[in-house]
Amino acid sequence: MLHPSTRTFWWLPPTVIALLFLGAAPASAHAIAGQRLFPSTLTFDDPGIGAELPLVFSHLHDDGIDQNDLGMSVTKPITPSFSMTAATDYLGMTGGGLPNVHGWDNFALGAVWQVYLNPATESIGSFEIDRTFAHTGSRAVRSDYSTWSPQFNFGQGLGMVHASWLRPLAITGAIGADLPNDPQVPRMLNWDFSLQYSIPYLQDFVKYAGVKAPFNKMTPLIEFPMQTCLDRGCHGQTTGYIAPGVIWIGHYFQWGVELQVPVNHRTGNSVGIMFAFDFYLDDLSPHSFGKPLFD
Amino acid sequence: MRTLVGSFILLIALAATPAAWAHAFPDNSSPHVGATVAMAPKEVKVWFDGEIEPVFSTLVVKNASGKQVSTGKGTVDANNHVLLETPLPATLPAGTYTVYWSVIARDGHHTEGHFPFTVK
Repeated sequence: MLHPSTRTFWWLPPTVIALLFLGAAPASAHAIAGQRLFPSTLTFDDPGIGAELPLVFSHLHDDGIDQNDLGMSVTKPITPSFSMTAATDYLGMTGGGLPNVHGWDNFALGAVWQVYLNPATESIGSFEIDRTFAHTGSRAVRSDYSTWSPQFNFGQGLGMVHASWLRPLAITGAIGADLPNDPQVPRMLNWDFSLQYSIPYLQDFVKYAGVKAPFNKMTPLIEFPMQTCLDRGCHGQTTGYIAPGVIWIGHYFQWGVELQVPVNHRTGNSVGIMFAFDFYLDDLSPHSFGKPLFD
Repeated sequence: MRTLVGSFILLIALAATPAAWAHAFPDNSSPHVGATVAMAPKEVKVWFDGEIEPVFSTLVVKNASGKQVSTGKGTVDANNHVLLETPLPATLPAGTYTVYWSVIARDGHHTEGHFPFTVK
């Protein structure tokens, strides 16, 4: 729903950040299972317990309308197996003969539990629940309903397979639902997955291939963020993207770029692009913000 | 809007303020990962992309039957804290060997891994 004016809960982000900085204890973050590091994907959550600050920008030109989205979130580990996330987006739409609109989307909070981690099999999984709060964003772009979003995230490396050329490959995914509290808004099934081929894994654990910087830190991947409507007149209709790209993993941050190719005409008719920077707060600030509050 | 942007800038600044070391991952090794060498190496060396703790970092080499062939648990070079190394016996028979490393970065983060090499 679009409205001309904006009103934000200006006190909320600094308050959350201040709360997140209170206290500290040791430990890690990153989605690591054994010798497998799962990078943060651009379109859905990774399966780890985070201490991170991702910024994701996406641009799409469709039907004469330019759509820009700057997503940002911050994740703080509370214990080594439990973290909390605060997130929002800044949205903008121009063109198409319509008034330009821009503003903050509704504010969201989330909690993630690490439910399994097996280093020997490079397996990792987490359960996540997010709540998007109605009326916390700008009137111009926000939704007037709140949404619960339970989700299961998983990652599986193929380091144990016999064919050595397949060992750098990993699969991550997420399956969950958006459950809005407005009976007129459809519930959605979210099912996302990615295929990743890690050059660092290839060179560090399988076979040194002579790949030099900056390519030696890259992971080519393809993401499939998909959504299927569950009711309210759109039952069974699926939208989504095929998102091929690459993620570069450094010491303190990663960056990534991906295309967004619609899987069908219902999704859209144009190819978009995404850029992301994800700051590893557990590495940037291992003794304060990056530590869990309780060990 | 300014408040939110300011909050994130503040967050990045706060996060980046303390000394940072990050997880340690291999940068290079001798022999190379997966290499086949004509002559048995006298030692195995692994260089990491960050400094590692000498006390808690280990490097061992095992043969195809799982028997350790290196001596001790490996040592971090006293003058180069990114280098973990272990000597090998003078007479290392032909075969495939696996290098197991486990390191603690200076900030306490643990990483581990293993890789093969073959002596012809």
